[in-house]
Amino acid sequence: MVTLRENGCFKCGACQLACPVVSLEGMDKFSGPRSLAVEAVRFGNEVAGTREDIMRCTACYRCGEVCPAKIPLPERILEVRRRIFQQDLALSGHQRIIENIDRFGRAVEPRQDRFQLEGDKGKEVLYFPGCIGELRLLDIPRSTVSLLSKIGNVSTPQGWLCCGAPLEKLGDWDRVKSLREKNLRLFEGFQAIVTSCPGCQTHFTQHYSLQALNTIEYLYEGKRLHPRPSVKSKKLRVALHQPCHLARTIGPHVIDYAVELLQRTAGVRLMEMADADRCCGGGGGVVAGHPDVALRLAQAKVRSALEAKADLLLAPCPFCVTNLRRAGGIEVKDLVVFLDENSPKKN
Amino acid sequence: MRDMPAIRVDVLVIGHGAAGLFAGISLGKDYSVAVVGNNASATSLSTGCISMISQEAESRSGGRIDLESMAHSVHPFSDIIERSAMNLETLLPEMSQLLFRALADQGLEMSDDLFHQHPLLTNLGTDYNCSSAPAHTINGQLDKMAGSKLAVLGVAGGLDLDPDLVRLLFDGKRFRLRTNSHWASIKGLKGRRNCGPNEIAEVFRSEEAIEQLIGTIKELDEENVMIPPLFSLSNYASGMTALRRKSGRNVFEAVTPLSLPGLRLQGAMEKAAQAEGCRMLKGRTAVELQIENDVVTGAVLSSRTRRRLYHFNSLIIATGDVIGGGLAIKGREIVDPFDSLKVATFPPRSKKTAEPGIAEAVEETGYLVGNDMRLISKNGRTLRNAFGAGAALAGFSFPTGVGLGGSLLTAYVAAKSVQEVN
Repeated sequence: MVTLRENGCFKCGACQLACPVVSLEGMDKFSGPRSLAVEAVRFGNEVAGTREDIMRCTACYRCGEVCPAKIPLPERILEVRRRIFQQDLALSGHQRIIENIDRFGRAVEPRQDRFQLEGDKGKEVLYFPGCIGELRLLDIPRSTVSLLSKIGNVSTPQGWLCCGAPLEKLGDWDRVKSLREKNLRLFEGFQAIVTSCPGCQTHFTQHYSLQALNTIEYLYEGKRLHPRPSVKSKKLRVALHQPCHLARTIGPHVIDYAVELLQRTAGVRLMEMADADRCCGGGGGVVAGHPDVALRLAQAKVRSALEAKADLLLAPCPFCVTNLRRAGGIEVKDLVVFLDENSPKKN
Repeated sequence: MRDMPAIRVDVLVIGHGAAGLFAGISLGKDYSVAVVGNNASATSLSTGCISMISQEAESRSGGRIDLESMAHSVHPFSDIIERSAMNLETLLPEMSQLLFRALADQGLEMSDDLFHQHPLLTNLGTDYNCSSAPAHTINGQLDKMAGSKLAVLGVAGGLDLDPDLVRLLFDGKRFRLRTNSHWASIKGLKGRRNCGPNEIAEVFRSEEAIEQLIGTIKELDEENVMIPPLFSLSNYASGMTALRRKSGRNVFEAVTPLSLPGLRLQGAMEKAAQAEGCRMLKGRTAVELQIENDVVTGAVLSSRTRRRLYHFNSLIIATGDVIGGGLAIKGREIVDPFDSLKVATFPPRSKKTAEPGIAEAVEETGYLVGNDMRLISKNGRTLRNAFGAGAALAGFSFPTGVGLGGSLLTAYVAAKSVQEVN
């Protein structure tokens, strides 16, 4: 339980300095974690005044990491959002997400194409595609299943719903709970739950009390990934973006796996990108609520990739891939898709 | 919490502040080194000055503040050095050279005149002329200016350093300065307000902004000019040099809340460690040490929802003092968060009549080290492959604002000890 009353802040400003939105937009546009999670909340229920401002937070968890007083700043920001939501103050872009979930059980509206996993392979590995994978970036679930199938029998239960992560970021906890109950019934009996979406993975870990694995972990520890030898003499220069939900909520040990898998892939030269773990703007409901802020963050990330002389920007997260592609200027691909493309097609 | 398969490195350094990083810089070339940190080092929050020693030791050394006087006067370091085979005469210049070179490669250069004046003293983290740091030995800078005129120059649109406030604080009383406040208007900041240091640094990447500021400084009557931190690591040295040379004034940075200096030093040291081949394991905390027969065989690193066991030949612990988050408080006691190592209190540097208060206890308590900076297990056995460095050690947790010199020196000696056994 996050309380807003306790206070250990000694005004060092570390969170303000580390916040990617503050550093990009300026404190006059986004007042920052200290102001929103420590100062504003002292005034109890008058949090409504922070509505526009607090929805610019991308929930990247950077502030919580650098706080020397260990104040749970990201959790506090989400708690303030919960209180704002209770006062019926959702932004219009966020209202649409809620409507989609009520109508389709997905955070985004279905289009013609949709990923579907055929056949019942029993209850070995549950693969959770997530809304963006299933309805928008279909190559991610396809590649994931292609790689996972080399290790185990993969299936996705019929009738699954959005994990609830987007609603948590908006502060809609009633819906979060209802989705969780329905999903948990479908998840019963599986030996492992795997997803390529760090947002879903984090939500399962934090709010379903499930130990969900990232596809990267499953592949690395399954030791079945044998990248295809490269025939090209020139190496492809790639930069790896570190999604916030892997680097900071699941934990950076998983990023170590990703780096190692890439280093093992023939024909790849992994470029050193500055601030690889700085938020790309894809999270926290900012793409829907303040798309201009999300775009500028994505542009900053693409600049870093170009400065690192990369030809391809990889991100193991569908939200990051979606937002980074909005910026243009460099090819952006999900890491799992890239690993699939670079592994032999037959066992 | 999920356990990941164990992994091995030659040297594991726990702590990514000044001490941990300098240990990494010293060893990275010859060993596979991983430096672990939680992303909130005390160094990044500090004034970033690599100055040395306490006020008391400074007076004992006749006002000359350098590593040597520190090494000889600070208990228990002088004992350690005396008992070990190390020779201070060669150790100190070696260490300084390594530090200067590593930081200069990352853009923090030191001016020659400073080097000749105090061959073993530097505060590269900010600049020799940093000032208004809390109780900083180097803020003698302001004392040196006594009787002269000081301009405090704020940058309009920036959050840092309100010149009117500084004038009120400085005027007349403590520093015997004639202080005036001024504001500089910079084109890139026009119409903006409350810009934080990162945004300011972004604006001052441009030559045009620097030239504009030089123009403003030239118009001032005062010979000394205090400015907020304006530059990030990438153009810090060139920017400050340009301001000084082209304006002909003694331009120096203030250290204020929301400043850049500590972060700048942190950034330079991290890059230097990586340049030497160290792997940075950021966002992770060491939660457990595994000890067998006086040898630390492994450390469990936790990162949010995952844990991974690291094996190594040698371990350096540089986690900082209680304030830095390295040691824990349990009730009224200061304890080892690993519950494996001996924590001790060293006698205060001045005579005590009463029980020490918590503030003094914080300063005096830390890990006990024996010969060659070897850590001692909680049951009193000297560990064969684990070494301590920095403010985590008893007797080395200096009051805030004294500088990072002590931490660097202990780290260098710990690194030397690692080389001796491997």
